Amino acid sequence: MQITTNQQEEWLKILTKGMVTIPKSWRKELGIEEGKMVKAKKIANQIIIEPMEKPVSYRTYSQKELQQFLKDDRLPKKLEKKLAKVLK
Amino acid sequence: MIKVFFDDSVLFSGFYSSTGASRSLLEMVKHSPSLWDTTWGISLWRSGLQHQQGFGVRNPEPSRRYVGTGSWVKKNIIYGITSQTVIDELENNLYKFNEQINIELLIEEYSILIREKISDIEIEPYKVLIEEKDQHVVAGAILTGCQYLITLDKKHLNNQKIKEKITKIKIVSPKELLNKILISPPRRI
Repeated sequence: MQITTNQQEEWLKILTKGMVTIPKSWRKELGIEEGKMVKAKKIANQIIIEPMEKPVSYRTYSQKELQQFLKDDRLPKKLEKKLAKVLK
Repeated sequence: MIKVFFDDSVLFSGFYSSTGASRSLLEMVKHSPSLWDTTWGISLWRSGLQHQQGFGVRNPEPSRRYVGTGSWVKKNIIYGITSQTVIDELENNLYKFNEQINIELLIEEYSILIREKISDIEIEPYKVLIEEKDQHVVAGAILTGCQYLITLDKKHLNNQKIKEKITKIKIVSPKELLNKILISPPRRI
């Protein structure tokens, strides 16, 4: 049904009554779920489908930053002892 | 009762390493009396308000009780909350470590509540205050009514400059929170 060309472009087959399936990865990325509304726009010979709520961007940490988190998270001995009592 | 919002860095450290402050805090959340054991939790659950507030519960009936935990944990409830946006961020970052970590299973094990994805509209108030990529974290923490935003990210979140701008919530590291609650424990509500 779908012939992939690249990540941002797909060939979609039109089904009965003009229905098309938006690729799963795009739906996940854009937060498009069953029952939610999307905005469709016809511009010249193009149709643009936009999610009503745009997804927000988030941070991608580098390997170095993630290693630093682990280092910063180490417990000092004093706190470690207190925690051992609390969680025993 | 303390409600804490975990960002990606804390969940990463807590899930990846068993010896850090993040894991200890997660253990405290795990051994706190369940949200569904409390009056607030039961009324919230029965009224279906958790859906209106955008909460999704991965583990509505946690099996653990107070077994094996000290009296401090029994008296001081800590709720761990995060958002689906943070989980997406975490999945993305864990991939770099090539670790086979089952996030869903750990979320269940530690009884962390997941709020639905933060929308573009919800981050609007924070757009002028902080960097774009951190707005969802602050929005999530405030929208879920948490008192603390727990992060290991000193560069973008846990620093004086951001703390001066974000006054609705206390931004602390897991170590800072553990120090605070163990030295001067909060009153039971």
